[in-house]
Amino acid sequence: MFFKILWNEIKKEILTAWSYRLQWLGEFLSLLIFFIFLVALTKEKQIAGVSYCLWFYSILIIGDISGKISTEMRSGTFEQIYLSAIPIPFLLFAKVVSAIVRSFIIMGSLLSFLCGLGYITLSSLPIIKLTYVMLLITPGLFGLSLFLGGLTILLKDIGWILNIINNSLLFLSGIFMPIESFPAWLQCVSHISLTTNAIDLIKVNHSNNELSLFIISLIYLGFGIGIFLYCEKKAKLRGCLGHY
Amino acid sequence: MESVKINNLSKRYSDCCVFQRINFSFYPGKIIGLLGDNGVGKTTFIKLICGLIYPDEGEVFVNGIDIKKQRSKIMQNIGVFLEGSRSTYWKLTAWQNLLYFSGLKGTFGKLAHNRAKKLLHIFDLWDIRNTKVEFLSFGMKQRLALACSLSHDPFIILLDEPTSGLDKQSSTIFERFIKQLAHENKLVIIASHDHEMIERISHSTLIIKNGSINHVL
Repeated sequence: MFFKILWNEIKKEILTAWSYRLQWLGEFLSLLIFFIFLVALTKEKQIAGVSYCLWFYSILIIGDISGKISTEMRSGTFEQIYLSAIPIPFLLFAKVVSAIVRSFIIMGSLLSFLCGLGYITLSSLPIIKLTYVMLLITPGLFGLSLFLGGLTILLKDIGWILNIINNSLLFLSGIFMPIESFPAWLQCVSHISLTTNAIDLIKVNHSNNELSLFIISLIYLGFGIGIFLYCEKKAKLRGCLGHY
Repeated sequence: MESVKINNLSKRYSDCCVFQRINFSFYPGKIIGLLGDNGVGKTTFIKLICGLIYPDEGEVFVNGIDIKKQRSKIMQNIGVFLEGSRSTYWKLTAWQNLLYFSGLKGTFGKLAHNRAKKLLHIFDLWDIRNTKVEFLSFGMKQRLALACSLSHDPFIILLDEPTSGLDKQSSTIFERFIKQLAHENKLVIIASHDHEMIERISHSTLIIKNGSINHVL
């Protein structure tokens, strides 16, 4: 029954997302425009493309739960999903799965499009490694998403926090300039980010890094679940779970 | 055994006391009406029973299970109607909504399909089953939301203002259906402003006033 409920949620999310498919096109176009500027600024086009895809994947998942909770609060359905027969974090994970599917479709389209234009060559792209690294950081990104989802339940509008996170990730991940050129303290800060560590892992091949990345990812997940459950409890005590 | 047991329950919102140490037991096969002015806590009462709001003190047991501690376990048995027409997904069809909500509570396959068909016929929505909710009238959305709350055939049904926005014919159908549910030994708790409707269908009526349930008719 558990997996059936998860599949039920994934199906609903995909159906709903398909109703807004023009938004997918918008996401693809903004990603493309940004990437073209990035290519103009950098010499290492392959790494820039991969890093940019990782950044896009990260921000899509990190903001997903918060965005969906806000939408459901506004439409009045948020309390309904709280009446589910399985714990809410699992149901929210099912929602994130639809975001993962969406991000893979958009990134796949972008990379194919750029290959077609001759910006990058498909054979030199570390596609398998990229997918593998994405899977390694997914639990952590989901944890961060839960953390922001919890804040949304309590504070309602956290768009400004999301903006700070998205922009920080973009610069701290070393997409625009190498992390090595940052001051020492900023290099330390940038390595708090899962995305930075994931990009590093793609640049250098070392199995120890994979394990430590996965452990950091799990720590983020635990932290996210803890904060989410705390915020949920507070909201239920205040009686503001479904308010917006 | 009681379907719902409320033990010494208290709830405050900042400086306003909504409930002060209330105790109640509700049994299967009964229709309980909940009356009271705006803001006295009718919706809070419904949400406390289904665990959407936590009490400051006291416990709520549903079929003997503490709703705060084992919420997921009991949700298959509870149907809740809240927020009316807004509680369905407008980008999905009526049919997709019904199957989604029954699935959310763990009812799938043939059982869910048969139940959905039955509810669509009862609430006169069969002809628009493949229409997206955004294109339905307010009354249709309201009836669909009611059908969704009952799509998994729950034993305990909590309804908050279920007849607002319904025309006379739909209200009559609704009342007949609620009585049928009580005959099937289910507990129905209805919060409403509609005194006449509550008097017509409920076995007992509770009036919420000044932080307590003052009067039982």
